[in-house]
Amino acid sequence: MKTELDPRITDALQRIAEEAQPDKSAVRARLLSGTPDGKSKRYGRPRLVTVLAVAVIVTAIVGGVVLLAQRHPVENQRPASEMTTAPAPAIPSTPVSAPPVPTSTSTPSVVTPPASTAVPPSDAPNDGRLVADPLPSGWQPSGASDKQHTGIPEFVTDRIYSTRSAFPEHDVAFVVSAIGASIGQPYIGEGAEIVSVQGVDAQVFPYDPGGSNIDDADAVAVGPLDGYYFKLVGYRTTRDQLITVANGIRRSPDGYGAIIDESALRPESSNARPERRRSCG
Amino acid sequence: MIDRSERETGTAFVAVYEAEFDRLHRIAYMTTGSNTTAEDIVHVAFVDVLRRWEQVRDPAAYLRRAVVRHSTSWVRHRVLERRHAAVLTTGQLTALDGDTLAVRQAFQGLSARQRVAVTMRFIDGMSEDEIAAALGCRPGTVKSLLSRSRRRLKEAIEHED
Repeated sequence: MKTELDPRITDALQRIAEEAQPDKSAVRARLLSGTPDGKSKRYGRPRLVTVLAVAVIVTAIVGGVVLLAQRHPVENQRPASEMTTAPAPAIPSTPVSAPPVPTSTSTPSVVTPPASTAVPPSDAPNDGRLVADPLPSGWQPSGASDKQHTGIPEFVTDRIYSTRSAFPEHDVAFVVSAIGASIGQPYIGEGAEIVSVQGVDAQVFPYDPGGSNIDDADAVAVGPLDGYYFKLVGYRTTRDQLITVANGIRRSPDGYGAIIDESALRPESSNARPERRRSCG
Repeated sequence: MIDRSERETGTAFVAVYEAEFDRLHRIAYMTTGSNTTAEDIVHVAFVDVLRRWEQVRDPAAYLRRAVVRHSTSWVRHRVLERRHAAVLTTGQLTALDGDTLAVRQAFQGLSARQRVAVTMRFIDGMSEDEIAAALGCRPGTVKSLLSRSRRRLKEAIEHED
């Protein structure tokens, strides 16, 4: 019901919405012209004009070849009288050797190293990165495509663990990232809340410009109170679960890194909310 | 040669496109603040639904959900980029009165999901159940999103007075 809102706000919203001015014909053309199967135009069904153009070009090429083929034997054909008087060309005594034919048609195989799924053991020297220990089933170490999904590969200095779905960024996805000290202190939103992570106070703040608290956030990040790095530890899923692994973070033995408990990455425990000690929002 | 089923699909698709495009674009625009981005998002959503046309029972609902998903994802990535690249972007500013400017500022301060909920509710007049389906959450969550958004927008306009 539109009456739930102040009419002035409704009017203002309507005016803002009127700024939505799509180039509908362009989008429609992109969608409908030659792409009924939804594929991109480049690989989709060719248009009639394209087909005709290709047909004309092919016809011209074929016609040219045929003409040349017809003209060629006429030029080489000599009168019988000439053939009798002219000396026969010398035939080379040594046959022209044919190039060696490969016995195998297989192309040289490119040796691709198998994707490493090894997870550093928990007692390995920690360089400040976050590690999952151990990696739960169904989760895999990040690859280049995962980094692509974040849209900001330079941001990702650590690993991403995600389910291998078509849209990991929309489903259960964790971006585990640490920002180097050179980048400076991260922005701490107004809704920052303090949580206790295995005895270490940390700030959890919504990754959303207008989110006033964790409930409104599309994603959350956690960082130590000294604030020189932080970790984006969860996203809200399409099922409205705020996935956060804040409860499952442990400090690494050397104190610089952190270790995520396996339980924190399990989808069934993913709706666990961080323990709130104080709300600043 | 286009067979009959393909032709029927095409006709139905065009009908859905004509009926839903403007609304979907408005939702995407209100969430992202960019006309061209909104066009792209809606385009991708239509391509999605066309690929799954045989399996999709309610194309309009599917499209709404796809547009919401792509829009909120886009906003999320933009937020991350802005935070770390320290690049400020300005929206498309036009000459607006005080109320509209105040509401616009407050609206841009809402979360992407709040913006989606407000647009669907107060501009498109959709029910809370429909919004919940598009957002993939419970109706109670939609109520909460709308309540907080209303409060923020109201504060903005009162502050303007």
